[in-house]
Amino acid sequence: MNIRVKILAVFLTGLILVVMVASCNRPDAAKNNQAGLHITSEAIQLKGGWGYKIEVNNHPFIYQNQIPCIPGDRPFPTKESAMAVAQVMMNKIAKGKLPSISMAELEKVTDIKDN
Amino acid sequence: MSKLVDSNYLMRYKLIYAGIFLTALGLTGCSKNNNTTTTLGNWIQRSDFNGNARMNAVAFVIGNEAYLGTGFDGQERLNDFWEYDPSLNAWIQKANFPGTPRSNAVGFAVDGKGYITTGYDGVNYLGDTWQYNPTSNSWTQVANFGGTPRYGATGFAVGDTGYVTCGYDGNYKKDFWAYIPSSNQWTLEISMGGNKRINATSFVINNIAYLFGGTDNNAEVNDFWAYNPATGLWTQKRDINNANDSSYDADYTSIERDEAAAFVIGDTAYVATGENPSLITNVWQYDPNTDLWTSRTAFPGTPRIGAVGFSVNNRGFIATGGNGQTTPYDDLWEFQPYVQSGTNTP
Repeated sequence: MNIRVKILAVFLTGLILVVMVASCNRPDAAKNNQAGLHITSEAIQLKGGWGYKIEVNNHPFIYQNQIPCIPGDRPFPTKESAMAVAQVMMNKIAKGKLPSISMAELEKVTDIKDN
Repeated sequence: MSKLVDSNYLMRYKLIYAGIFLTALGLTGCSKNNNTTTTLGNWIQRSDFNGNARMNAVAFVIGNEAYLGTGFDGQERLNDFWEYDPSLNAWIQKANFPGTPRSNAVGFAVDGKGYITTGYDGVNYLGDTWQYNPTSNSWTQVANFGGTPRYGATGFAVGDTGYVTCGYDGNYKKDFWAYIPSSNQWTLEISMGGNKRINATSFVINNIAYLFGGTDNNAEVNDFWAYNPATGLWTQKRDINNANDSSYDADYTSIERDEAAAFVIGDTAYVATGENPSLITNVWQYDPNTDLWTSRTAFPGTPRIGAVGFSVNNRGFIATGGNGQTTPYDDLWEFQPYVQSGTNTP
């Protein structure tokens, strides 16, 4: 009984501290520090093809429902091509770089050509 | 046995007190980040991304979407182009801007199409003009800017016409040009009467355009102008510094600036960011009905110049910008004029 209460006390104190730190850290998202970013991607099935979305710290950031760089409203032809480009963007975000894909990068990771 | 029970109760009470104490400590600890004042007007960061990005980009708004592109990342001029959808709170990379990658260009939107003109590629002053069609996600080169190639100009659109004025082509400029997409022609219009200038900011409220800030020969300008396209005439409004003995401008100590960003919500405009000569976080609201400025909640992001401001469906945003050296920003902030400052709601 005594040990159980002690464990409970330690656990609750820890929980309170975690909540405090988490709630106080919220405005620190504005800091120019990419190390702590939680970046996830997900394929989106679209009419006639694929796209992707990227979330940063559980907030939407990129919603790519068409191939970047090239004119026209074309989705990615395959899920794999969409996710390959998503990965390039995610790597850039993680390094604190502009997430933009260049034509050269698009051609490198997919079969897509500018037309 | 009873002693054991007592000590358990004691421990529980201690725990409860500790919990209350720690929670109270937590709340006080956080409060410095939140409601230090109860100023009306709230800034919300709309993107967690805050990496190296761009300054001196251009933005325009078509329908429910904002478009942002070009700019300078501290090393290179850029030609990427993005759509921001406030309802998704997410960015979509669109067709690359096909002109020379550039910064300090001008953007405006007329009749459902966007335009980017003028700018600087790091070597040359530019005068080519490009039209963006959001329906086809494609670009078309249209008639070159009517004036000399330049950068640091400012532009706006009213009705079926886009307007570009001021900037720098080796000299400070104030020639005023109208672009009519239906005829694809630039025409020279009557210039404002004030100083020539670079890095001014313009905004449009109820079909009247306002030309704000900028520098002339490295000095901030304090004259402020309104343009009425219906009459083709410029009107000088009250100066934006403490210019006379009247009381209305006694606190006009932080309005004057260059490389500011502006947006319009309802019948008033807000100017934020910029420099004079150091970086400014003060935000001022302009009411054209009274021709008066009111100080509002300061911009809480990293102080910056070369940001862009835009309004989508009466929501005001400030995005990108830089510190004037080589550190650009890519964060996005929304200003909620009728929400208490420090409110952290979506």
